[in-house]
Amino acid sequence: MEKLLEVKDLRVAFPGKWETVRAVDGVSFQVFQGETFGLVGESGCGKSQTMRSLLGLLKSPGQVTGGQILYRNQDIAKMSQKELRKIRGREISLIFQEPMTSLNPVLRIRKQLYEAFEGEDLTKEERERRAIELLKLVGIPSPETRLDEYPHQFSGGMRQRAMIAIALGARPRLLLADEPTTALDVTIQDQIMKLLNQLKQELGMSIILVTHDLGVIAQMCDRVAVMYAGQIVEMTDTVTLFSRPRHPYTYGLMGSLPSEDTAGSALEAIGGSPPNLAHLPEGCPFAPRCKYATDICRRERPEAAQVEPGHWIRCHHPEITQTFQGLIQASDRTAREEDDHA
Amino acid sequence: MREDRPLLLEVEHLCKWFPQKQSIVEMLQKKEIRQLKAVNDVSFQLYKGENLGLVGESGCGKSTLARTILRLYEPTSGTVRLNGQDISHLRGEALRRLRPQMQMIFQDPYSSLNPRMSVYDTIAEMLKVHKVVSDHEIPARVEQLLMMSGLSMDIAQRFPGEFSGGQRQRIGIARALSLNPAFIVADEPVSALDVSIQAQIINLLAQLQRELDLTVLFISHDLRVVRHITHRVMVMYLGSNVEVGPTEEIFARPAHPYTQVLTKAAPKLDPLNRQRDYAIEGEPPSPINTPPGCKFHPRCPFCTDTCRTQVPELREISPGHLCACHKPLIV
Repeated sequence: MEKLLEVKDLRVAFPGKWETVRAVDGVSFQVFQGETFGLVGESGCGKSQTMRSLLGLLKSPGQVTGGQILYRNQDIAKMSQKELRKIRGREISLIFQEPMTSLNPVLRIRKQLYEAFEGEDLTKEERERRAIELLKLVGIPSPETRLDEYPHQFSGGMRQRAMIAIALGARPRLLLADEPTTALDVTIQDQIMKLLNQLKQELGMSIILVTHDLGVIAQMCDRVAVMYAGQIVEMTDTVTLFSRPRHPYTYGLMGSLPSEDTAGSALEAIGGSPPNLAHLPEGCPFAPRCKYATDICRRERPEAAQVEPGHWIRCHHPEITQTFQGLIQASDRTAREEDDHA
Repeated sequence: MREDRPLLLEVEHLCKWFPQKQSIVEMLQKKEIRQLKAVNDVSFQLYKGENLGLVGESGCGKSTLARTILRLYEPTSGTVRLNGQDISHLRGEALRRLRPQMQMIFQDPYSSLNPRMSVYDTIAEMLKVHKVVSDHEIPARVEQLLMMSGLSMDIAQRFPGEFSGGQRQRIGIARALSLNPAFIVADEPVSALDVSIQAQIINLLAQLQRELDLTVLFISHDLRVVRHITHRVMVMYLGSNVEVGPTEEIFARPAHPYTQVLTKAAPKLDPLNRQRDYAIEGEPPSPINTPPGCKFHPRCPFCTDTCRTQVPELREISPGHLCACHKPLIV
């Protein structure tokens, strides 16, 4: 598969008067053509800042302080605003969590859709046809009349669909989705996830999905990176992550989730809370909350290391984490793959 | 079902309607005032020491129902009885005496604590206002409450702004418990928290509920949490309860098509089991113009002619399991 995006040792910092917050601290990953790559983690882990830096959209005083963002071999981190404008929307597009705040409330949907293909030389009829096609594509009923409505006339789910239609307007190769279903009800969340999965297949685009919900990751992603305190602590394909998690944090997250088997018993919560990004501990940032932490964890930062092909973790104790049992049985995979072949 | 336990709260045909504003033209035409039926004909019982989950999509009336029971709203019609006493239309001093018996834990720990009051004052204020303990006993009681919520007296003089979301929620819990309430409403108590912190608070709530034999109405849209922590579940759709029953039964054998949809729609934590079909089309209609007959019929895959015209009654389909559907999925 063709490599679409490569992020190498990305660093993002927010310098303040007294202290500097290192929001992203050496993040590296790759995204291939046609895949959905998930970034999962809790609030403040740097997942959204990683995403924003991909389009040069960091809010002041945030800035990229190191690393490269190679989009088809061009470094986005070094581009001028003018160059970035050619990439935004046309090559890489972004959808946000709250569609009401990211749609313009005083413009009709028609106008906001047209902006997506402003650069192209289209006649009035062609633009209208394309706008209607887009609304149809994302499953908005009676698109001809809805084109002339305002965002407030749309329901939450329909607004998110309209957002997606606008994001797809210029046929991007890469769609960045920042918590696209978090503000929605479960039934609507389900519809939007299926829509994104289906669009990815039909249009052959890649998606980077940022979420805090492991359920959304399980349903949508091909590969996943788990982030903690500005770093990727574990990265592998989704099935491996759910069957054989190798980082204590990933394992802890899975243990914290209530499920049908946990009723009546206590959840295995991770103690404590995430560290302050301006005052990271000297060793592994997860060490203060980690059950398995030893002296070396408190002293030295672990480097990313491969524990099996394509499975990276940042942990000093891969020998301990080898015994972790995931949420699904790994043996299920071979059995089900055989089913699929049959 | 916990019928062996005493009845604590009895809600009968409770309605809370909000009249909608009319334009001058509509007023002159003497049009009937449209009502937003946020809660419409809800009946259920809550037993002592029980944790009842209340689930449904946003706007289905979960919070309005809770607030009407707590008498933050006055019901439009119907009755609420707490320990046998009708509280639906209490006023003045009688209502004030009722307040300490019913407390609430809020969703957002950032906006539900006064930023200018220390943790100590936040909790002590409750004790002073309602005079539950004499003044010299207050410090000891505050300490006991903080300990119960997993905090210590060291933090008592600090302000809410210095705490993380999980700690603030613990303060909120200590405050809700301060008056020894008979009944607690927890309105989405963990949905604003991160997963790892969420588990800590869920464990705390479950432990306190067991130890203090609390009666809780647990409102949440997260069905995984509800399944974990509650004894019974009530499902609401557009202002009415469509199904009530023991938690395990509701999840294993949902009787109402809407309950089935809800339980299926939550994303499964299994990448090898990806849901391929739409669980449900469309979105809930506006509670101002509710459809005739069964309110769920426009989205229901099993809809028949009866469903379009007749409102289904809530009836028992197996002991303790009630469902409002003409064609329940289990008989």
